Amino acid sequence: MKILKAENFYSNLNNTHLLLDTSVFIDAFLHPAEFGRLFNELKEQSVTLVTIDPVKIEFLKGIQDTKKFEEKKAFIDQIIDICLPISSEVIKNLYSLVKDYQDSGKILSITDLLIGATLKHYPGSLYLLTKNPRDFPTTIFKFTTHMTLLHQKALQSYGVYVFDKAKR
Amino acid sequence: MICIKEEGTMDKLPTVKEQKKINIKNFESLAKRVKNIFEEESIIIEKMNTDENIKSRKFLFKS
Repeated sequence: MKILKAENFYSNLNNTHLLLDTSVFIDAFLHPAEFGRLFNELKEQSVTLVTIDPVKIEFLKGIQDTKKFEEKKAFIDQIIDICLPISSEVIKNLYSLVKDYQDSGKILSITDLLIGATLKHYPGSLYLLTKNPRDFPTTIFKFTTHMTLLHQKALQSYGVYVFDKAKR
Repeated sequence: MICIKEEGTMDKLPTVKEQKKINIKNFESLAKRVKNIFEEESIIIEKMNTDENIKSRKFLFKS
């Protein structure tokens, strides 16, 4: 598997905070060498890798014992630099975001909504890397760059989104 | 690294003094153990298409 980055991938993300969605952590354990290098390259560009507790919980849930819990948690903590708190402001954004999504919000998980609400809290400065563009429509979020996973028989795309300042 | 606690209004994103680089060999080893955990725990990572390496983010938990 190869990760093909858009020409503006690093230049657009330079010196920013990048929130990682659950899909990133899953792909990272399926393809650790490639994703490990990607994370290090992002760090070289002064990109701060962040996530939020609901994403961590989505990844951690279902464990059978404490040792396995700690291993999964250690995996996430190796990748991210900061876990952003869910503040009361973020919860306020959650309600307004539900209105922004209108009927397309029906299918969203609470984790996706909390990611969106966190992006809304830091408009123009917190970016999201996700493989689920359907959950982050360009009517609300601004698409900034992308990368593609090139497999032997398939392609998968990741988008990078930021909450559009003009929409706050 | 748990941050469930309320930290009031944060207008600025927090920063780290020094970012920790990932040791790829250790990371690969840890990733392998995590992959095994998902398999052992019967958390099925649904296949999305014909490439066996491609998995979706949707987990199905056996009840």
